[in-house]
Amino acid sequence: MPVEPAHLRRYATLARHSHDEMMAPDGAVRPHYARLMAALSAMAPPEFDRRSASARQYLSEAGVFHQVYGEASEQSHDWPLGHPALIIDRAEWTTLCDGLVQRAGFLERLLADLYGTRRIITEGILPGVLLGQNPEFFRPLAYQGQLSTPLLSFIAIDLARGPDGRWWVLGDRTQAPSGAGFALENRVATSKAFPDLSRALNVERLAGFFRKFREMLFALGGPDRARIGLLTPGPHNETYYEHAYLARYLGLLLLEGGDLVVHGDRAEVRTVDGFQPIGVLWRRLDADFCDPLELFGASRIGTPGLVRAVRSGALTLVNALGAGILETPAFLAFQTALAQALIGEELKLPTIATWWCGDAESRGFVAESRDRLQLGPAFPGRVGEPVRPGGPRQDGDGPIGSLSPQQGARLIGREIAALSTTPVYGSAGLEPRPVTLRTFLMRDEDGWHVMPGGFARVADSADARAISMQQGGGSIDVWIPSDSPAKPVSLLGPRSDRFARRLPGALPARAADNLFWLGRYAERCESATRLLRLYAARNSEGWSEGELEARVAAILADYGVDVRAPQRGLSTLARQAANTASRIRERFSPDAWRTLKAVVDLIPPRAAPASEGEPDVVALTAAILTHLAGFAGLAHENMYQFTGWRFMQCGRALERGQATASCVSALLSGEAPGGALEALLTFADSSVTYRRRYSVDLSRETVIDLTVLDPLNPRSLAFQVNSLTEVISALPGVHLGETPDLLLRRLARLKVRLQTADAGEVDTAFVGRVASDLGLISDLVTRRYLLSSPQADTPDWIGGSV
Amino acid sequence: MKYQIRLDVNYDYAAAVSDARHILRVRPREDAGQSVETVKTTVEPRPDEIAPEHDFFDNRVDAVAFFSPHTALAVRMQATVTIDRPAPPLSETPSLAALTEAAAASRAVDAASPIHHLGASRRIADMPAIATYASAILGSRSRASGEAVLALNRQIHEDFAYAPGTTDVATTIEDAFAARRGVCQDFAQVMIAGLRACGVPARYVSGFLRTDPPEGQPRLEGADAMHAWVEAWLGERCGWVGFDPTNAVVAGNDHIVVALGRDYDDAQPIAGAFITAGGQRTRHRADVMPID
Repeated sequence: MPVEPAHLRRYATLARHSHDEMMAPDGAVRPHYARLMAALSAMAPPEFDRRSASARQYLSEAGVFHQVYGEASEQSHDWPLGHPALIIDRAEWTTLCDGLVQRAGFLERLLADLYGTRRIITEGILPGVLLGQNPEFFRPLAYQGQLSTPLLSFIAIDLARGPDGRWWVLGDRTQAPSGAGFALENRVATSKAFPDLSRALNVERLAGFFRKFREMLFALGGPDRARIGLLTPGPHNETYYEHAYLARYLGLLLLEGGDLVVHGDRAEVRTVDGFQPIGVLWRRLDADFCDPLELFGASRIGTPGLVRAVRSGALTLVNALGAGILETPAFLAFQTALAQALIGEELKLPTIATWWCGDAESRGFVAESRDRLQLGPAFPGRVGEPVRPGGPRQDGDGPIGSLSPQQGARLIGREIAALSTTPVYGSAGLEPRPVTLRTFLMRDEDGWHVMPGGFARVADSADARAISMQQGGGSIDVWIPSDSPAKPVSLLGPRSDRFARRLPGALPARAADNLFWLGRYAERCESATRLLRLYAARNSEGWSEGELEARVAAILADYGVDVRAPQRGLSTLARQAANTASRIRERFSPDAWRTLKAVVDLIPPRAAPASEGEPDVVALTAAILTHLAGFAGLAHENMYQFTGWRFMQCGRALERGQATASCVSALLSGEAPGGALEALLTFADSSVTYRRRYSVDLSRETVIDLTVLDPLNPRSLAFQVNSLTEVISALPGVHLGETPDLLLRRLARLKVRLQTADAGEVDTAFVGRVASDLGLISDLVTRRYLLSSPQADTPDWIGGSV
Repeated sequence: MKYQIRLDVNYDYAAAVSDARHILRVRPREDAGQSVETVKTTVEPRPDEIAPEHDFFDNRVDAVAFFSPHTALAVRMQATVTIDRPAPPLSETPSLAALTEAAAASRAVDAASPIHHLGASRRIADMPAIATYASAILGSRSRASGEAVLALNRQIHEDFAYAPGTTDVATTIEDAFAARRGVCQDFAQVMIAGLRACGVPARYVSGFLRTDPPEGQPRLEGADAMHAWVEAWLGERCGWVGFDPTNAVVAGNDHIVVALGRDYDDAQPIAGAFITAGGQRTRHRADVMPID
């Protein structure tokens, strides 16, 4: 049984050193946990395991993963979700919310002052040095507090419960707080595992919070600024998954700096349909990186001119550039005076006691209390700061007392937070684990709202001093029970507003580019796999290495696949497809993404022993082809067939056309070797069709007719050209009836050539011309729709200088 | 002293550049001791956007954007400027101890406040070796800060070799300090780092020098191009005073200030961000002729 009395006794022993969320000091289960504990006690172990497995399965199917900081190999890990959820008593939560809302209001005032009149400095409440040296004080925006746009709209506050049972503020996250998306996923997964429990406890839902947030973003945009983006650093960031997930969930455009351009004072998105204005960005990119011209000059992921657009008021960032200044650890040393000056109240939530070593008295105190305090940087981290060999150590191993005031100004000492513990299932049943709670707040015109729940991190071990928000550990859901059943809220169907079917907004050029290449790479992987299967099958049938095998091996070499050790090349092709897909995960279903990822996983990293090599390759190629067919099917059946889908189809058709063309000319050129016609039919997966359509024996003309000219064979060249014509005609900016541009003219000419050709006249030269026409069409599509800049083959931001 | 100034900056790009944005800081500042009678900036090719502005430090800025491909960029600035800068009363400045205390306690938040120029900035790392070096030269904490800074200005000139071509804008302060050589920018950065480490607010200045020296005086180093030097804050009364460690002089009537800030990034004469597939080549030349 998950919870036996013996377990509880053991738990009580382990939990006696700290405040425990579930168990009172006398060993009794706290009332708000009673129902949960009763249910867990009544649950047989297999059932509990089955339930946790269903949560894990959901997370894995949804593709939830995270990347660990500082890991060179950008490996993604399973999302470590623990059970049960952290439960916070309703009445306590209400009090906590009061404190959080008050704090958010305080932070808002503080930010407005720092980017406005800076009265807290002129009045001597905050030392000027904490502004002047602050890497998050952006001088190009020094007066943005005087604009009418709000500076702070979505924040996180990290909390921990001290031994006295009160919640303490560990820190504020205002730059680009992460975790809200993960909290949402944790909730969905936990509810899958324990639907009965979350219902029985009337756990408050999260969807209402996100709906409000979304409404707020669109309200910020106003009637003319209907396009809202989520600005991400890109797929290499450790929380990119969350960005893609939230963009999809909230219906925002997922944008990178390079997708944006500033014209005049306006920010615009580069789309396949030209530049489209954008007025609001939910910023998940650290401010310093946002504009290489006015902020960090070496940033390669920003948008030159973005700061101008912000200064003019035409672009609102949530949160404002520079909001990260509120994360300055040294500010915590001045909380009481700041609150008194800015809101005229005492803060309801205490903050962790902090001393700033910039003033002599605190420096002395920190030096004396060295063993009780944790030392840390006084300022938020700055990017691009040169490494300082032998510089003053910020971990403070040296004597604090001997630091100069200038060195001390960069250092704080703070009390070490003692954390409360919460029950989490470990290998030996329930264990008390130290826990911290990240809460989320958003602001709309009615004020600040707290997300009813949060993101709780639990330590791996019971050591209450070992946890930090950055280090390992897992996370658990956070439940706020209420007295009445939760009203179902969903982002779908806000009331019953007037129904109107709307086409998706313009597609960013970068997303189109990725979709185009996803189509190409997936098809390229398939072509190479087909060829390899052909090669391996002939080998295993005992055909000696002859002219035909040599020709197939040569085509495979062009794909980067070495027939003697094909795994490596094949794996590269599969990775290209999966990596491209990972950059646009918000644009197709998790199922399709998983199918592609599975192809990568199918291919063993090293070649199998030669003795059993060949049969393995046949089986491997068959498995890969099945998965790729699955991907194509999912993309075709489930993707919304609009602009994005068209670019993917376009890439696929171009790649398939070029593959077929190169196969035809490689296999049939000059004196075609024996078996070449069969091989071509096999490659084109057209053997069955051939037998049905032609009663005659294999002949060069009939095989060419089927693989090149037949418009009904989905693998023929003519078919690819016809589908290209169809998707390209539907792309933005193509208006039938107007004088066709070069792209359409080429396409039309190619189509006619294939329609009117006779199988007898199709020779290597003919096929070569088709292939080069396809290449030109690919270039024209790229130039017209996909490139962020017309001439840049290897685009790079270069900072000019004198 | 009245000067006619002309600056020409030319860029040649190996591959066409499009979607370029630049910030030009080439017009002389309107400041105490310096008045600008005429100033004109021309940019070739004609920019799609050009907006004259002031930045946080009150530098005069032209924000420029190009949206069509171009393979060259030429910026020309012509100005007539009168300089009348009295010699600062260096011996009447507060002691180093009093100065650093006043700086750290300053409640001023405007562009001229010393609070912006204490501690490390992105390009001017705080380096213990420079701190030790500077602190020894500045001397006793009771010494008049003006004289102490002047001593550092002189000593850097003594200890460092002026060697054009050995460093560039990407040279770090660590490297320049270790090699004890460089150009005006390196001299200035070392001095700024040393002053800040000792609690003296210091900022980076870019500007012009009189090209030909007055009769009988030596020609100043760096007179053909834009120059860089240092301003140190010497208390409320004296304010910011210019020191030129490259030439071991106090910035007087031969120095024309164009832009200033925490380091090169704030005062960079031409900053740019653009997409190109190739590299670039730069030439620039300054002429500063006295009138009358």
